Amino acid sequence: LAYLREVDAAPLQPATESLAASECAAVDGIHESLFAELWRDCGVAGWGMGRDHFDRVLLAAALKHNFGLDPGALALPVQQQAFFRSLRLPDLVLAKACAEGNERAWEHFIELYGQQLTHAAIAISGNETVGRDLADAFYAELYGLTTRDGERRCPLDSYRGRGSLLGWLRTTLAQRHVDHYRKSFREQPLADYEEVAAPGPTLETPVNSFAPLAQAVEDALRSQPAEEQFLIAAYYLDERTLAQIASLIGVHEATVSRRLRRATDAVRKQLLRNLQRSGMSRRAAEEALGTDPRDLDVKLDLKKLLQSSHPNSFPERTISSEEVPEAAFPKDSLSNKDPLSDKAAG
Amino acid sequence: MNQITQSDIHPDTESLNAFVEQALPAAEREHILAHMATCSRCRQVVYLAQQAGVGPLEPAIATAPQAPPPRRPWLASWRVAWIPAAALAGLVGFAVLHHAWRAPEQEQVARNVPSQPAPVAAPTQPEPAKSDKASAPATRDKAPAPKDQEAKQKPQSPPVAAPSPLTASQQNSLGPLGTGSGRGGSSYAGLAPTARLDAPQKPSSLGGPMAANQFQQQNANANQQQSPRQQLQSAGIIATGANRKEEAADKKETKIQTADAVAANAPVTTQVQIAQLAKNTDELATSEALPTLRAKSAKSNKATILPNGTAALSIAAAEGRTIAVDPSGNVFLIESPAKQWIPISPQWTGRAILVRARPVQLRSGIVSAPSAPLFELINDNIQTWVSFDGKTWLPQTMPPK
Repeated sequence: LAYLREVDAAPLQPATESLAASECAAVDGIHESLFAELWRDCGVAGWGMGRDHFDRVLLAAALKHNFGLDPGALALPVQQQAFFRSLRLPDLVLAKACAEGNERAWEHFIELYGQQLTHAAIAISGNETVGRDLADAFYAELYGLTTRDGERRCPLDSYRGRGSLLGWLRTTLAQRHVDHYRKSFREQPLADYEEVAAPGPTLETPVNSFAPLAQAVEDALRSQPAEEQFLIAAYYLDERTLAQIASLIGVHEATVSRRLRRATDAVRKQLLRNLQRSGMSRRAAEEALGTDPRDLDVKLDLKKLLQSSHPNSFPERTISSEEVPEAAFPKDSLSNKDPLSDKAAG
Repeated sequence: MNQITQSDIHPDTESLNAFVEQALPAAEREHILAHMATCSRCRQVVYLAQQAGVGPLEPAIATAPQAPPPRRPWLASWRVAWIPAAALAGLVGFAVLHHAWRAPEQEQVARNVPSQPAPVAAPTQPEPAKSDKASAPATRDKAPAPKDQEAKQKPQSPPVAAPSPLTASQQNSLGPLGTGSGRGGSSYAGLAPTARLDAPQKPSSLGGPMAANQFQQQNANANQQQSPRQQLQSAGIIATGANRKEEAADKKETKIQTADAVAANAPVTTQVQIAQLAKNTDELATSEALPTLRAKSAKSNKATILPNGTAALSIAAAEGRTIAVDPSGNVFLIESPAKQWIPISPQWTGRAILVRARPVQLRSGIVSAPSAPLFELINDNIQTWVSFDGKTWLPQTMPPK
């Protein structure tokens, strides 16, 4: 298709929306009538966006996510059509128009999302003042007041139409708030600095006795599927309720409870196996864990272990075996939670 | 936002949002889950985004104009009560269905009961209004007639002033007797059901137990409703004021009709004989000699005034003797040469209401010919006396079998 190649020749955003020659081959199967139909349906003409621009935006979104397929997979025409139809095209067009500075688009954006964004910021921060500050700062960022290399930058450019624009705004607000908190929660006033900095009595903990156990726990957790790991982390570390977890992953609370129990049993069995593999007898391994597998949560700092178990995610922070005994008996150790009791409470 | 850094370490905002909105394909969702299992920051972002998706509704509602609260469906509060309510509704429904199922059976029984006398009452359909009073209660007394039968009868009942449809429809089958006009015709129709129609239609059953039962049943029904005089009045045997002259004009016809009336109202012991009498009367009515006899009788009885000044209620003539009964029950005799009425002293009980000459065939066939009485007299109790000469009367006895 000739017009697609022209689109490739004039990328909107060189960094993110340029189409490589290899990627152009992937769009050969896209039928022009589909773009024409999408162009008609989404009412893009109201924001002054041309047809070529619209096609480029769609292709950039498709190629960024490879039509929702694994990287390197070639999308069939049916898969391409399904991907395009799953996009929130009106939101995508509005976001692009706002990113390009269309005043009418901004008015419409403020009318649609202005109040909701403020409420979302207040809900995320838990404080009205902080929430309004967060929302105002985010407005300024969205409007493109920040520049980089002399070029106006707008976060709305990164929106590709997967999921609603309002959800994207909320998630972005949440990211801003979490990042700000993680940067600032260590900051304390100077008046309190001396008290905090004053050295206290160090807790003498056995260092080497838990090293095999920490390694065994890490291996046991990693051996679990991703969703089970997420369930354990969300329930035992983040202390989310079964209802919150269930609504997040889209299953019933009973399913979350059942899968949590199954994952806990599997972790315990794998932990025993790992300990025996490290040289312990079965009896010694059971004594190390105790008879109740939930003692594992009490005796080990799973939170820190899980936080630092993915070196790729946190390259700047890696766990060492010496850190584990340090937090083996934390003061705010996780309570001995039972999924069933939580379910009953929820 | 540093997108490059974010994409290297954490999933981008759009992917996290798509994860919250369940809009990710399976493979990408698995990748996000694997990352979030070890990334508390992304889990926190996802939790907050999800919480903000629910939270903003509250301030929005607070600032919005007082919108009415969403109404819960009124059945929502019945969640717990649904089970007993459904069970109760099921029971009520079953009871209603059971009642409705049983009701037609009871109605069917009620309809079947009156259908037993229906064959007797069926011929009474084309009756005038006056005769309805005599016949209808008799049929209704034991058991009410079914509605559908009543509905069939009602449209066929003519108004009082209208001519009886029986004279038009059934005169052919009745022969010359049915051609009588006025009182005679209606009286015949009033008594017709039992003797007139049943006898010719079921000649083989005459004298049998079935016929006796039918007559007995009919008698019982009729006697329960009316006194004998009323019965005779309604049947036309006793003439009343205005139609006495017509009654006299149709005297001969009335004599024949009274056989039917007697047959209908006679005691059970004489049913067989009366039935035979009715049969013979019908045979006589259909004979060729009857029109001449009727003409003579009509001419002679047209204006018969008795010595007490009253018109004769019933007149019978045989072998030169004529016997008449006035409305008061007095009986007079006149013999051919004398040409003068002689009062006959009552030798019977009650009041004489009818006198008639016995048919020739009856006198010569059934009863022994030489000693056969010429006349018979019927009182208001429907008892019969017979006389050989018109002067001496004896109670009638059943003929020897």
